[in-house]
Amino acid sequence: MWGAASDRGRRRKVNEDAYLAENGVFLVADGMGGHDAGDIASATALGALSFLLEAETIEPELVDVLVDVAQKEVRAIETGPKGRGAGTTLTGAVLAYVDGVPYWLIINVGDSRTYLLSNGELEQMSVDHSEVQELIDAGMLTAEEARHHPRRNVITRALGGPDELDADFRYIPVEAHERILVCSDGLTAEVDDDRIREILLACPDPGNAAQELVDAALEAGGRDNVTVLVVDVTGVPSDNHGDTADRATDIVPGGLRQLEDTQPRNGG
Amino acid sequence: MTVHYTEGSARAVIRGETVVVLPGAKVDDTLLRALWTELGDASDGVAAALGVLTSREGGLRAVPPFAVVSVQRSGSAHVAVRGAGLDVTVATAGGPVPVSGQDVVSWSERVIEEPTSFVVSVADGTAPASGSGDGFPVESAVVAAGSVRRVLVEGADDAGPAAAPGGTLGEFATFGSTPAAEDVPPVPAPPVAGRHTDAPSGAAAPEPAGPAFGAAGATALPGPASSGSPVPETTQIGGGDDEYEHLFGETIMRSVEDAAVRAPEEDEEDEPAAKEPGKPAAAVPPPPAPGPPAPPAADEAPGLISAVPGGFPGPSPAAPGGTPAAAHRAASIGAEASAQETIAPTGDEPDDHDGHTVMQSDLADLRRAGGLGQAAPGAGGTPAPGTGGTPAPTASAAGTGPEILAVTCPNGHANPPSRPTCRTCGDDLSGEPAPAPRPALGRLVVSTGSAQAGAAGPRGEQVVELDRAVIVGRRPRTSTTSASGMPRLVTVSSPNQDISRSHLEVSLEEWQVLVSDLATTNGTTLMRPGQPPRRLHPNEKEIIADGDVVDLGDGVTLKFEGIW
Repeated sequence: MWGAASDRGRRRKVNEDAYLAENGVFLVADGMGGHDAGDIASATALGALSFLLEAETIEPELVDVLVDVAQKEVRAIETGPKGRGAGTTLTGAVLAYVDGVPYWLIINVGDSRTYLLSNGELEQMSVDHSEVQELIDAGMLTAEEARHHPRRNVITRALGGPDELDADFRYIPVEAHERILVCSDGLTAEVDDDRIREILLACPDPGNAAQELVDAALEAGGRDNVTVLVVDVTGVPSDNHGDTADRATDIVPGGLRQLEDTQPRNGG
Repeated sequence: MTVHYTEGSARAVIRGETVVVLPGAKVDDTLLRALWTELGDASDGVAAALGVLTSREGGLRAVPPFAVVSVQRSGSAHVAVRGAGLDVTVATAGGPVPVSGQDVVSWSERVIEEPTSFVVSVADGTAPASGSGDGFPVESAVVAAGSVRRVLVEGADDAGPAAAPGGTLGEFATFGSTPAAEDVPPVPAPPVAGRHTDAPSGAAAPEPAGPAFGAAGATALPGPASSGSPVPETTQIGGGDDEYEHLFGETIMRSVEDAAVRAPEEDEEDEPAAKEPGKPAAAVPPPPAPGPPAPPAADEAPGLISAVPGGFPGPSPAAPGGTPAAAHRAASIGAEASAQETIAPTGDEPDDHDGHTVMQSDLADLRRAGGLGQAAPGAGGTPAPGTGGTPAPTASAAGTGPEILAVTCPNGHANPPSRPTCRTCGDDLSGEPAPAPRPALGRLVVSTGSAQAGAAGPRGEQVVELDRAVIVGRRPRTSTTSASGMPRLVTVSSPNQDISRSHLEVSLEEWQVLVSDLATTNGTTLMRPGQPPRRLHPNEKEIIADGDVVDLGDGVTLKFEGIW
């Protein structure tokens, strides 16, 4: 079960965020500010990654190749004579089976985030590729200080950047009663983790939860595009490994593939 | 190439198509020699110079301030500047383009098309050398310089306005805190000036780049190249007086400066809306507000909108966000609020810079130059389609590992350098050790007591090739890593939940296999033939020998076979 909500926010004119939520693939891309055609970049990247929908087996190497393809396509985006190059972040969770056991393959490039809500605790699964994260890693900044750091929006990796891409991956097991949150920084810049956790715990329906989170970001200022995917895991036995066939249908009720662009709400 | 330099305290390495200027008196001789050597046969001067400059111990902090300007084969000027007090100005037909390293953590990097000349100047507080006129010409050298100037297109307006009144070299203006042409009042810095201005049609008169950056207060700028009346440098050196102003100029530079040198801008202003609908790719759902210029959003402050034709989110202190956070944000990164207001009425979505998320490719450049030592073609700030975007060679089933030192037998089998004969075919090993892809270092036979899904061997055992790291557990998870570094996951059943979710890590280092207990509740026991069982210390790596068996509990054992 999953729900999604996206809003261009109160200040941005265009929603440069995009998401892909279908068939076990839950990705958010945040087209980059300061670059041309961020909305095209995010949609292009997800277009390349949508190959995952048809892949029989999903492995990090496959995703890595697709990320490279996406990188190439984003770089090739015609930005016209102004051409500064488009860019986008990419993060999310993809259902992958390892020896028949379901795992979330977490993917990340940039500062959009993927979280896991498990046993009431919210844990960030992705590691931001941002300057402030590097300062945090170096022990020079606390997470709370980073939220207000002047350079908190400077990211160190992106699809479409000039460099070879090194996407982050990790596997986490798929467990029942857990919830995956995939979001652009329009949410996390406005709403702190505690509040996100409260909302996720208060809204059993993933669609409502996604919308509530977007609303919270808008209430807090909505200075950027906000995109939220909430994925609930159902049908997985809470103990070890269960029947994979059930899971495939239960986790993903199918549904529309969406390259979400914009839902004009109260932003304008 | 011939450049002209004036004497000063900085060191300039001039060789090939590249100029490297290192300010300060304590420049390391070995660094200069390394730069000189590397630039000798460098095809990409900036990459070569950055490679040297970032190769020293100590990470980013050890990288000295520098300015590198290299003229590429295409004729473009590739500029990298780190640190305050160094100014690079590249003159183009469209006007001068300044590049400053002030207030950037790593460095500013630009590729500027069709340069006509450039000047690298040092603001070290020393008086300009007198009587040197245009400075001394030099083909290639390491010199003590105060400024370095190179003319690429004769007759074009100079980046360093040698044509400035009084014959004073323009770049000297940046030497001291006094503007060179003190009799000319500084250009008033418009609060907002710049370029995100397609839509408001005629209102957006083409503005030269210079004043826009003057507004940012970061760099002394010569006037618009075409104006014929050189605008005096509104010298703003030192940067101590207003950190935020410099921050403005700096952080926005990446987006605005590009805009500022766009030659085809007039075209777009002639037909402001005509091009817009064609912008989004066909496959992409059009954004909600494309097309003709949208009316200003209701919540936009009129004052800011009226300032839009100028466009540049200058140092207007009042961030319209209204909240301290907004002010902070605006003051720091992209001046988000002003940038947004700036854009709001244009209706041209590619110009919708939010200023929020900024790609800091400089850091990645540092990694590339210093860490990996591979300069991707077309890298360095130009989004060049088709370059560097080739899918990385993905690890195939064999030889996936990183390269390690090995002796390879005549039949192509990699062996540890210590071995006298090939383990696979028995041939003598005589060659010199050389890096080779690491083969699998053995096998891990997982015995669970009950049949597992997956690669089941005889008796329901699972055999795992040790060609990469492995995490074994009841519900294992990995830490964050690259695709090639992803461990295998081995899920084992533990009806009694004796086994932790992530219980044991098997890692590979060079030719060795190591295991570590991941600080589990019930621990891990190592059983080595001929030795009493012993418990592994949590999070301590233990080297595995062939035949070792590791007991995870709940009847799950791991046997290591074929270990080197």
